[in-house]
Amino acid sequence: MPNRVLPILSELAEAHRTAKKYAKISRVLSRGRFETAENQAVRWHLHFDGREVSSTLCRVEDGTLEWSKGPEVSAADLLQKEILREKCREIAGGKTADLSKLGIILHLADQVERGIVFESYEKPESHADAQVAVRDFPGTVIAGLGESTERSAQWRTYPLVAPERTIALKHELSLLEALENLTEPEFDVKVAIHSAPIEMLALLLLIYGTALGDKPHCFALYYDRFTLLAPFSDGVLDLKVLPHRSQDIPENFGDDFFSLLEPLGLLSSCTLVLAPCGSKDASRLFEVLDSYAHLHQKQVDGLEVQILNSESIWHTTSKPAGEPLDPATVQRPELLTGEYSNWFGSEKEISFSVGIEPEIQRLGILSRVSFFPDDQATREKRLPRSLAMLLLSLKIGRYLGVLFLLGLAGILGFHVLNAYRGDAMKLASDVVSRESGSYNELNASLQYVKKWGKNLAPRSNAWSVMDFVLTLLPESPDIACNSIHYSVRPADVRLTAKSANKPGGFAREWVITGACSEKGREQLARLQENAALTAIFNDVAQRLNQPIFAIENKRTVKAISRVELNSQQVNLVARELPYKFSLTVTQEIPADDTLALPVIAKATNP
Amino acid sequence: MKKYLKAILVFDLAIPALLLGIPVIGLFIALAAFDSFADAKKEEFEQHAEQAQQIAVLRHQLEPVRDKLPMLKSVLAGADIEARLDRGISSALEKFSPDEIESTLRDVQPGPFPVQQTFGEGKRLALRFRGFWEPLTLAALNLETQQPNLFLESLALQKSQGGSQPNSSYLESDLSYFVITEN
Repeated sequence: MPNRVLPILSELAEAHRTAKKYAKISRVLSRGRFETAENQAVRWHLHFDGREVSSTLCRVEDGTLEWSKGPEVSAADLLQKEILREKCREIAGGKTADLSKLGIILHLADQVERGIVFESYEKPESHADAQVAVRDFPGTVIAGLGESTERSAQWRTYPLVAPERTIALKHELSLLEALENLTEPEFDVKVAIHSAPIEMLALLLLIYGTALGDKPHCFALYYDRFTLLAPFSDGVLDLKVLPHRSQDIPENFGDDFFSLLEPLGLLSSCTLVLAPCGSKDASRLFEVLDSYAHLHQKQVDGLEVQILNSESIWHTTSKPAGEPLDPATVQRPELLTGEYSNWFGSEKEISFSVGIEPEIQRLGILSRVSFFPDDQATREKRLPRSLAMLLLSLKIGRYLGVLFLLGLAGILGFHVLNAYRGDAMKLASDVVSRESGSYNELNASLQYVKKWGKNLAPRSNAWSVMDFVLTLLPESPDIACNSIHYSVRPADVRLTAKSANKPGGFAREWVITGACSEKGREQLARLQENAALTAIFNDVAQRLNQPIFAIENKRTVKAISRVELNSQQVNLVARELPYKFSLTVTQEIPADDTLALPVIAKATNP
Repeated sequence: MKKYLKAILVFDLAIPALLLGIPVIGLFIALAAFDSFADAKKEEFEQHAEQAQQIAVLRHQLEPVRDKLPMLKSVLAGADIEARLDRGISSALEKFSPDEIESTLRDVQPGPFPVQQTFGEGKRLALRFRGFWEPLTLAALNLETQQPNLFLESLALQKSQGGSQPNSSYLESDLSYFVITEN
């Protein structure tokens, strides 16, 4: 498993490195960086015919095109990627300049070849499928290629609506390696390769315009290394490439010309336009053709020959451009088809209508088709803007995540510092434990004191009981006590057994016996008055600070005295105190009294 | 494009999410745990402050009885009760001469409080003195102050010599106490 995972991860890592190079923030934010070379702010047009290179710059300034001469480049320089990079930097503004706003458009007039399209793609209506298939699998569209998919030889298909067929042209891209190097992420130069003869043909159709409807034409585009013949009648009827094979003109130009036009029936009435597209005069083609016609006794009365010169082309194209075009600056008229694409109409999709106007529009669109490799591998190598934005968004998200992480760590640190700044964290747990123990101990002591303070509140003490007797019967010659009996009993005997766990009421009883005089008898009688007795109890309670004597709430007191004549008056004292008495004083403390007998639970020591 | 998408999803989404997610979750947990810990400590501190205040209040409340508390516990302890009662009686009588008051009976027996069952099981103390009224009163005051757990069940005073007032004669006294204890 790891043997499979590691290479996959390695591939993904490599893809990720490449994606990161494409997804620079300045690039992602600029929509132009993802556009084609033709839509860049600065376009460097290179025209190469196999021998000479012309270099022109076109900048878009305030919506208008500004032409200027490009850097000097030789044919050999085009193969040197380092030199090309230097030239690009020179155009962009210096060694550290951003090259991603630069588009290079190579107009190739070299090594062009025509191919035969398979029948399945021959109908012009199949163009959409054909142009997709020819980029990935040219062997499925072009006859005789087999499965060869050499990237340095690129095919493109051209639907010819008038004859209802499709032809293909191939350009050999000997400069591909150097150009592809410029498209690497670190340079990000956009590159397009246009077919110069197709551009020139489109331009000529535009120049001739309505004149094309008067009679058939045949355009001969005379480049230094090949001549392209394009017969036209209600549309382009064919495209024939005649290589010069190291000669000035095609080897069998007369044969090829007549064999092309005779089957089409154009010799009886046709305008042959000889367009000088290379360094040589096009009249040379005419001379060859003229001598061929004489030699082979060809009937050419209906053939009208027009030999264009470059001045007339520039003069004609200056009109739609709206300004005079300087041939010394622009150098090549092929460049105009791309830069002034509006000349060919606003349509972006190819129409398949027959006619001069649709044909001009069609050729205008086809002239801008790029021969730069556009197979699946190349397409996959380019990072789309959507993915670049996704990558950038995730990168921003990552930074935000890191910030969030740092913020979270900061918050944690702040919480820790803040917490340790206060006293709470310094509090040792043993202090708390000790204090808790101390609190429990003190609380238990307090509860103990409260409980036993209440339980042991004075309810029945000998000293106060005796003192009460003295208050009840103060020292006097009129009363003599013989005995005092004090006891405590339950207030209600019936409840005693039942309420072991409830406070109990109780009664205190004094029984005093003795002898008294008549005056003492009266004194004892007054004690039976409840108010007098209550006053005595309250007085004792206050004087002795013994609340048990206080007659309050539901506490009750009563006194009963029994006095009778003492029949045994044996001594002097008995004679002075003729009565014997028995005084019973009872105080009742009810069960709901604060000093009722408490329930003493089985306590535990604090 | 798929290759780039996979690479972006792996290196810009999955791995960063993992590398950031784990510490973020960890920090969240740590933050929550620390906050909980700090809250607990704060609560503990507040309880400590409150308890310290309560302790001060308790100490203040206990201050008047602090010295008496050991004595109270000693009095209420069930062990060695007879010896303590003996010492208490002797201490109550030591200020007086035998002519003023003398103890003729000391008896401690186990048994319940006859008045109220809520006192539970305890000891019953029977005392008999011979003496004058005032020494008798003062001795009782002395004994009951030292032994606040004595609950007087009954008191019988009988003149042993002639006299018109209870405090002017020599008295025979029988005292019966219930001794309240903790157990």
